[in-house]
Amino acid sequence: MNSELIEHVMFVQQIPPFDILPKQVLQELTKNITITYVTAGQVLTDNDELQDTILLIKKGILVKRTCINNETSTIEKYGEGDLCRQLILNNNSTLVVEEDALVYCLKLDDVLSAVGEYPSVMQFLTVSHETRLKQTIISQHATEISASPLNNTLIGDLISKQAATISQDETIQQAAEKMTRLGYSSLVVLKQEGSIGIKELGIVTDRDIRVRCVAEALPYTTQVSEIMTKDLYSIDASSIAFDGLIMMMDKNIHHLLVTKNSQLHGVITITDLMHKEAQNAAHLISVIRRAKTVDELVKVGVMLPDVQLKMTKLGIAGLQIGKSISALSKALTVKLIELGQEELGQAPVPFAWFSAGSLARQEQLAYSDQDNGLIISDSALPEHFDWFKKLANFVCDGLNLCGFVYCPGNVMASNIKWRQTQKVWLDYFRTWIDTPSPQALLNSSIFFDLSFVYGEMSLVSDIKKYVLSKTTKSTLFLAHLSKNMQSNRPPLGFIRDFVLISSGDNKSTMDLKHNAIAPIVDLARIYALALGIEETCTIGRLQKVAECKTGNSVVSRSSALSLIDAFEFLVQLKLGLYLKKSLADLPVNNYLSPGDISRLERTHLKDAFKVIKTLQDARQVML
Amino acid sequence: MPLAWLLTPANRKYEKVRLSLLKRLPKDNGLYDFLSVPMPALNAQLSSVDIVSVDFETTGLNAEQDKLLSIGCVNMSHSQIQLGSSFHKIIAIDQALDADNVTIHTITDSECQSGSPLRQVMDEFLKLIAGKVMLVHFNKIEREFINEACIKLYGVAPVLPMIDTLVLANKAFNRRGLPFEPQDLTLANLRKRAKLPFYQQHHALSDAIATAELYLTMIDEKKASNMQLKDVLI
Repeated sequence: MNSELIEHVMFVQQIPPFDILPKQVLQELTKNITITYVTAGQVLTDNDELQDTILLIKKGILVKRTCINNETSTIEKYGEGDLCRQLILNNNSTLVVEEDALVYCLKLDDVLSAVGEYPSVMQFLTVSHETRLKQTIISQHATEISASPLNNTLIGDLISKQAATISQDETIQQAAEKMTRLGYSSLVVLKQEGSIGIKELGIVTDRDIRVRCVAEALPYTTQVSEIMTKDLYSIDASSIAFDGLIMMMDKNIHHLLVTKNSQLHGVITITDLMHKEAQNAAHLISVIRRAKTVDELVKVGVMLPDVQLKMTKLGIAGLQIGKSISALSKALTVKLIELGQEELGQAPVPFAWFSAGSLARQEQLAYSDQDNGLIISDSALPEHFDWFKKLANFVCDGLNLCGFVYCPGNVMASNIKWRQTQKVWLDYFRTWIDTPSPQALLNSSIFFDLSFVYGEMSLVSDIKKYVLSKTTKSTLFLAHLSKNMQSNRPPLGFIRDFVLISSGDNKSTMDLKHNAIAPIVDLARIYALALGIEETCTIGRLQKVAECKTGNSVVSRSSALSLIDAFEFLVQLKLGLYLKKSLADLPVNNYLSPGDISRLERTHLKDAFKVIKTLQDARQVML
Repeated sequence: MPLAWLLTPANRKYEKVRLSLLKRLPKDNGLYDFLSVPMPALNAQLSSVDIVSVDFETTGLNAEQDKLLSIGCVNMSHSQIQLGSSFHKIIAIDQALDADNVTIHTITDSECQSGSPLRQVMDEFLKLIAGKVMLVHFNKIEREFINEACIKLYGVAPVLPMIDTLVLANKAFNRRGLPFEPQDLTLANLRKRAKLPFYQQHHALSDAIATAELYLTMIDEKKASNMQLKDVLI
């Protein structure tokens, strides 16, 4: 190999997945390159020498076209620095040269033998972009498990109380009484051996009493040993919590005895372990529930960004974090409404507080703004409205203090427009659906993600039912919604690379939220409205779409699943971005510079964008 | 700048000359092996001809006084450049390099000293190009330096069928009646015109690959399958 081929090595090295290869392998690879020049209009078919060949475009543009039912459409364009895997061409697709192109060709066999030791590179080259994205998500989940707090915690650290015990000859009733008094859900059953020795015989739980005693109509005076679970497993307190979880799943049991120096130390349940992950959030929720003043709530509210960062650092899935933060935000809202009522007195008529947008979809993250509204019972009299105005102001101000800033679009209950009787709300929705003006469409995207927070639930659920009954039939409305969505396109140039913001403070970045995450949210909403799916969270909606057994005319099962993958990936990427920005003391926002992520992540990002674009285009075609 | 020398009539009789030279040479002559491989037929379909793109770096333009510094070449067959066949050698010469010159070819004195003797490099190079048609940009340099070296080393100048991208470009400009300046015909400017990417100039192998790429833009596979070797040979 001549070191003089360095220019060519460098070109290949820039292109994922080759960027992770060491120099020697790259040089080996470069040896197998043949350079060819193809001219505009030329059609490259499978019969060509290009069969089973990977093409790296040095200059020019190639287009992959497909022909179905005599209709030709462009699937993909390849520009400078793009990699085109000829092998995935099938009978329906052709590769056409759009602009004279200088192409580096690599025989797949040569590449695979050169990169054999790099499975990720092989995988990249031999699977489609949808599959690739799926695999990324799987490995992301694997990282989560390894980064799970259970891996950094010892069993002993999870036990706060000594194990409670009971002698084998005591009765079931005595056991129940002891459990109730101590607030335990299980007791270890002991047997006296000789004069000093004791032995653990089994364990008796809430469930045992229900299933084996009450359901079987055993007298309460039966000995506890009759109903105890005899299969006892124990784990040492110094074991890693994760091992305990594995052991329980393996043996299909829910309790483990914990020993310390071979002595009974405590009992740990599968729920103890499962909750460990969410402990922070759960703890905060209980703090919120106990709060007596707005100040106390504000203290919790300002901690949310930290909680979110901590969870991100721990490698918890982005969607899980969204759910936790949304739950906290909901708890804050509920508490604020309760505090408001303490101050203002009871509500004059029934009402329902709802959240809209990201909180309703359970995708709210710290640094989000608030979107909410108030539905008042139709029985309200004019003099009642002042009470609701005061309540709305109290809650919205409180949320603002807690870090959920006022909605810039003024979509808040404190705005009289969004604090109306159920009848008015039904009118709103009817108008939006029947005469979809631009403003109506904007409102739709917020209010069609509606979730009950507090009060009279039926006020919200009536509206939701009404909306779905209308949207499933209103193709015109869905068409407008689809068209409107097209304005938020993923920032992927038709060829070459990302399209970045060209000027201003966020120059050379892309807006992850508006151009990548929002389009998926929009698509999922449209699918849900078209198919009458009640779910509000994006993943939930898409899962319901995928579950449609008979299939549906709106979107295919596999597309829905691809969108789920893309969404998970993007949310994770967004959280990573927040983490990086806040660690670097930069303002936390949604602007991502492609240079700040790895090449591989960039490729995954492009894969995700492709999925979104394809489905957006599909909506457009349906218009 | 007079361009008459560019248009030297094609060396159509090279196969005849090759055979007569071969008859006169003793077998132990370094050129014997090279000359014993037949050249592609003049009427061969151009796309089927094995081509080797060649570039030299020298200490100057005068083959009689100046020295050959490096040789780079790469094979091309069926309109595909095979990077794996890349060849690049630096030749050790027994004189100090001229500073102005070094700035062009960037071969330093120490690199030059660690190079191989001319004889060894030429033997290897001739083995590589035997039976192939050379592709060069501005054939005067390569032709004259090879001839000079061969006379010095083997006592005979061989026949060298060549394709010259500069000649091809010159013809194309004339055919289309396009006005042009001599500097439009440099390798770098012709590549620019063909919208080819920038590359490291004045490096023998890099220039050889660059020339091959330029050739492909002038005569793509389709054209080459409708042409004969004699249509482009000089």
